Amino acid sequence: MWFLAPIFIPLAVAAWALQRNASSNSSTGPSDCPRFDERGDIAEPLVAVCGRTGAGKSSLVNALLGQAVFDVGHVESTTRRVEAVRCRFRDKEISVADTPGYGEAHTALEYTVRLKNWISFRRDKLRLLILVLQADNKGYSEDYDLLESLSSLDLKLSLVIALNQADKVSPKYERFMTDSWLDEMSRQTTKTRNLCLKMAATSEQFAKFDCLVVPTQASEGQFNLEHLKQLIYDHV
Amino acid sequence: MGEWMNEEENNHVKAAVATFLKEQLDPHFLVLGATGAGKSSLINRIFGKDLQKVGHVESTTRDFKTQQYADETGSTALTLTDSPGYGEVGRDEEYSREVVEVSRKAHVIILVLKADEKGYQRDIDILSKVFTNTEFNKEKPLIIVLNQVDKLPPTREWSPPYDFKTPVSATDTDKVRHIKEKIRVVREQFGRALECHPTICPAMSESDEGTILGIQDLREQLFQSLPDVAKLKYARASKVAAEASESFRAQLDSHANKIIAGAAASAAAAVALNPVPVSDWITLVPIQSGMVIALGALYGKKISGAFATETLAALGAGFAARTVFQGVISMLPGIKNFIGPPYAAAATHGIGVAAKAYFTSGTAPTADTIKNVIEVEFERSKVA
Repeated sequence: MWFLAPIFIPLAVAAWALQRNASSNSSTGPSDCPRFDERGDIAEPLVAVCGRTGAGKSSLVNALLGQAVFDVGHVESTTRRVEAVRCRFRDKEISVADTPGYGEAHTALEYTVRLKNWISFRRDKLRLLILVLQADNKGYSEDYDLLESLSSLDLKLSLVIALNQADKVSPKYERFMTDSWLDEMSRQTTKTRNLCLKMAATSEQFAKFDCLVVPTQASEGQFNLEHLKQLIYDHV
Repeated sequence: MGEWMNEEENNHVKAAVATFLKEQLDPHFLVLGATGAGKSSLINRIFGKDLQKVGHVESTTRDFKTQQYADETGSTALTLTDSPGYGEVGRDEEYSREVVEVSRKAHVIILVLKADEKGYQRDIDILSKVFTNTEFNKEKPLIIVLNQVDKLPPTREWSPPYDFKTPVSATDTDKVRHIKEKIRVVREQFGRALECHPTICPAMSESDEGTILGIQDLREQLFQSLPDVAKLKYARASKVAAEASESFRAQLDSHANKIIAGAAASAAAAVALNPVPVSDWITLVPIQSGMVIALGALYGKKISGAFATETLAALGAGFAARTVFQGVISMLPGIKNFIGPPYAAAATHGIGVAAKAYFTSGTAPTADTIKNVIEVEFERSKVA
């Protein structure tokens, strides 16, 4: 095989240089839109997770799967391509795809086109789309615009909105004492009241997409993940 | 207190204060940022609750709300133009044109970001369009506030005071490291996209426990970014001097010295052509009132004619009231019947230094101290 080296070494160097270039230019320039080529195994039924960069998609998927499958960053965007993993979910075999987040410079249109293509291409396998929102944010106009743009695909899938990082809902110092939304609601704290209001407002804002809103927390403690798992199980 | 000046002299002082106010610009800030970044709470923190809204100025741009605020004397203290948070995607072009339009009048642009978000696409997109617009003045200072830094991970860690100005070190907690990294990333991202050097201020304008962080740093940063003619009204409105850091105190003092030097030069110029008789010393009072008002504003005191005369009277408390300035001047060596430029400058300087000490320490210096300052200043002018 030694005679192949002249071909492979330049190729490897070129690939390395490309990758280096891509990472050193992180988060600027029109060409820096995340790619939608996949790494991993995508089978049926497929659950895809999408949302703004930093909403906590990878953390949520890791917490759902009970293991650190995907890299999680604290300051910069981490997931730069679709990462999929095939796993056993109780008695079902499913695939979970973690998509790159949106919200980075100059990429809105390009991103939407790429995500739309990716989803469109897998529409037969895709059963559930989980949109991850940061619970203490306001507005969600980018998220709304994304769903609006996906609606033209006329997909036959279910949509769940995870109001993630629910622990950041005011008052921040108040902690969840249980790990389930139902139990927590019965405690009637200021935090749960605020979270209730937030869920209601979000349901209303996204009403036309016919979705379910669940609060979650996946890092520095977990909250209400069993609820989300049950929803996933019911939809695959 | 007021009897040491007669009606006519009092009117001189009032006129001087009015002139001073006319010369000073009302600082104008343009505040941008997405919905939920915390723009309103940040502004409330910087300027406190004692500023009154005095109605909004009709804005020609449809998305921006321009609001004027007044201090307790009713004079306009500052103008804020607030963006409503970015609406639907696809309107960036129109929105950025509005930003360019509003920015013409603004002295400083403040962009508020929520620190625990990662992608600032909308902010960068819109600002890129603003910065590439040929009608936009790129010299306009841009301050990026990273608000809600307490929400960066680990969210549970929170033990201020923090110092984010030092480089990342091994002893930093995770929280401090994440905040410092965030500052670096935001500086690079915006700096590269906009080809400028934005100032980044980490802050927390609101928390459930009522604590805040970084607000004083931001107040000081805003003072530095404003042009000199807008600094005084800003200092008055924000009370930036009240909690000044050590390094900022030095800046305030040097600004005060500039004001004093300016007034001393004006006083010298006023008597250069027509030396005034000592008995008419009061004709220099308007210049000194203007100076006292300026110093008072710088240190966050009131702005009014009555305040100027009260302060001058308080400084002269060691003298017989009506003859305060004659008193000072007659103590100087070599003075005859007329005040020449060096005396006028030295005396004004002395009163300025006394007023500065009065505003910073709260106690009026004694007559001897004022006399000493004037004498030293007079000697110095002879040497020069």
